[in-house]
Amino acid sequence: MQRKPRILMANIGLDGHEMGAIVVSTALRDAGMEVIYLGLCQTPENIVETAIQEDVDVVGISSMSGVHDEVMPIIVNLLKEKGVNIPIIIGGIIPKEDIPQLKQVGVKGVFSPGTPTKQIIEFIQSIVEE
Amino acid sequence: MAKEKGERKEEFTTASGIVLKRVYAPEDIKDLDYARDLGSPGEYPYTRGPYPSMYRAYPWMIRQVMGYGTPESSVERWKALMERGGQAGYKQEPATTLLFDMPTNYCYDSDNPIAFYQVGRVGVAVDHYKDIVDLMKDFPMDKGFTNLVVHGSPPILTAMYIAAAQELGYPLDKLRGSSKNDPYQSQICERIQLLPTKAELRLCLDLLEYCAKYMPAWNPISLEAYGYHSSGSNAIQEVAFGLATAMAYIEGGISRGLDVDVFAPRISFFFSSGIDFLEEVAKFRAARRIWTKVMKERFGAKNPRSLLFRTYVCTLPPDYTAQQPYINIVRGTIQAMAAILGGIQAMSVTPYDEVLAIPTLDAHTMSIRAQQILVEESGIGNTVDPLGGSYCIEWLTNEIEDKVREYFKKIESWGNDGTVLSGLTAGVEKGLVQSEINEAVIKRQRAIEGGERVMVGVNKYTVEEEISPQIFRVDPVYRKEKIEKLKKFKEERDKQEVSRALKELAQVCRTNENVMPELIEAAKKRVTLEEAMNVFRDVFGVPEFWKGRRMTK
Repeated sequence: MQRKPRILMANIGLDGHEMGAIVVSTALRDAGMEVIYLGLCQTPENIVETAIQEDVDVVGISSMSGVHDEVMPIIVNLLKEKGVNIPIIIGGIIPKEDIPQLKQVGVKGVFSPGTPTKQIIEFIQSIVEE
Repeated sequence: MAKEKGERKEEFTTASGIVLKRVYAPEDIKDLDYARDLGSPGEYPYTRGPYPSMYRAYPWMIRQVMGYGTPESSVERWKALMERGGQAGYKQEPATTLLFDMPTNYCYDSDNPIAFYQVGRVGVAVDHYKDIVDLMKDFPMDKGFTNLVVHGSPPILTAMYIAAAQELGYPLDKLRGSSKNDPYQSQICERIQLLPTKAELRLCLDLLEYCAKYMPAWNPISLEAYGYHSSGSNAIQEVAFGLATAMAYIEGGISRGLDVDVFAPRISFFFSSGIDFLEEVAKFRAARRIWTKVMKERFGAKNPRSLLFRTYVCTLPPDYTAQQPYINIVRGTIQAMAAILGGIQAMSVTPYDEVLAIPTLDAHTMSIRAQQILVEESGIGNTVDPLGGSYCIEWLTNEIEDKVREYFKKIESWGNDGTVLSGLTAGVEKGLVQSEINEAVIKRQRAIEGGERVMVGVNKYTVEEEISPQIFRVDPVYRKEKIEKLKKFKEERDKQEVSRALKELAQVCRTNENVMPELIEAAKKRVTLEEAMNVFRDVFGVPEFWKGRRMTK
């Protein structure tokens, strides 16, 4: 039997804006995925360690305070250093012009405010199947 | 039934779910008694406005939310907004609403590695009282008005503000402004809780008590109801939780032996204004009437100023869209009109690009111009409460009041002694309020995705090609400057004085005495925000959330 996709959801930086992450986590659960909700104020180290320990298929990051440009490369590199290949996606307040750069450093998917959760679900399903 | 009449929908509802009738008539408000339920503007129960002449005397304060980078860069923005006619008080005195960066809100100094990526990003970085001196030295702290929106530890930041004011030569009793000193809101909406609830509450009331004694022109609690609406709940929940938390602080103040008529006049509010125009107008009118009655009937206030619900408003960002961002200018204007017709005192129209990044000066300018057009061209403020007496608006005002009062009962039932204070504390500690908000936001999202709630540009009238406006980026040089200056500040201070001040602060925390005098003294002795907070963390402990986390050096 194929196991359910396992997703780690985490909010980066010192920030309490967690509604986006809660909405997405709930939608993923409703779609039959297993969500490990790590919650607020996570450091890159914490996220990567948990992703490995929990053996997740995808890491989902929520960023609301503009730190994506500096912090995402750190998370991607930490994953690389540990020799694991877990796809990483991000949602939140991210200017359009930052998307190419995020993709270039290895972020698989970038979701702006207003993205239907269905689109995120389908995206995760497609990368898990790869 | 509706369809038989050839209508577009089976049912028309407000954003918070109140079902609207096709048309309203005298019988819908047949029990309305003018003197009892409305009163003239400036008269009990203040439904029609807190003051007799409202905007005919003074327009609302145009007070954009601002702050980024260092104190210097924030002052630069402040001055630019003033040049455009923003950041102006009732008599055109400088007035502003300051936002702080996330490390400041979490009480970490700029040189703590945990703060590094966030220094100055979404607000001004403040580490010590000299930063406030740098912020305020060009502005009159006695004639101006400064609203400090800080979520982490308002007493520490306000103590620094006081220390700075004294250094700049202002007497305490002349300081004008407000502190967002609202730990319930921080915990429920901002999800920022640095200390156990009881300790947060004690520090909040210490500030309240201190201001009641020494700072008669300062609002020690600018109660933030805005956060309930902006984090996903509806307008009714915003009024209900907002006023309930204010009631809890009033109960707290009274339980300390303070005279309600001394401190209640200085409690002010910070609300949102959403896109549902009619509901928002009614919301502000209902909030004013409920507050007046609560103060008079529940708390026995006699000073007419204790009965006034005075509020600052930010227009509601979740109604904005990242798609076709320029259309947010239209949304902001509609939200602003609702607030004005609701009778508010000060406003920030959220800049159209706030869903993308922190605002550009151009986007702020648009928000200021929108308000200037409303004041000077539209005539919206030329008569007081023009919608008063409308069958629909009065009916909606009554509906909202009823639903808010039901919420009060629910909150009281969570506690064990019938007070809101006990109910709310239990509700927050058990996460009941947080769950209500989480459920509301999930429901809202489903309504958007299902198409029942239209958002132009998101689920209707979408376009392929999107215009992307210029994004504001905080220059990383500010971070570098801030950290270097902080290091220098720490090296140059008298370390013995600092450690003595920290010891004295810890000592007073262990008693029942008010911490404010020691906190102000500590600020003057150059204790930093994080150092003061660490004393609190040591004495009061930290909530479960922070245990075992590698958040400190």
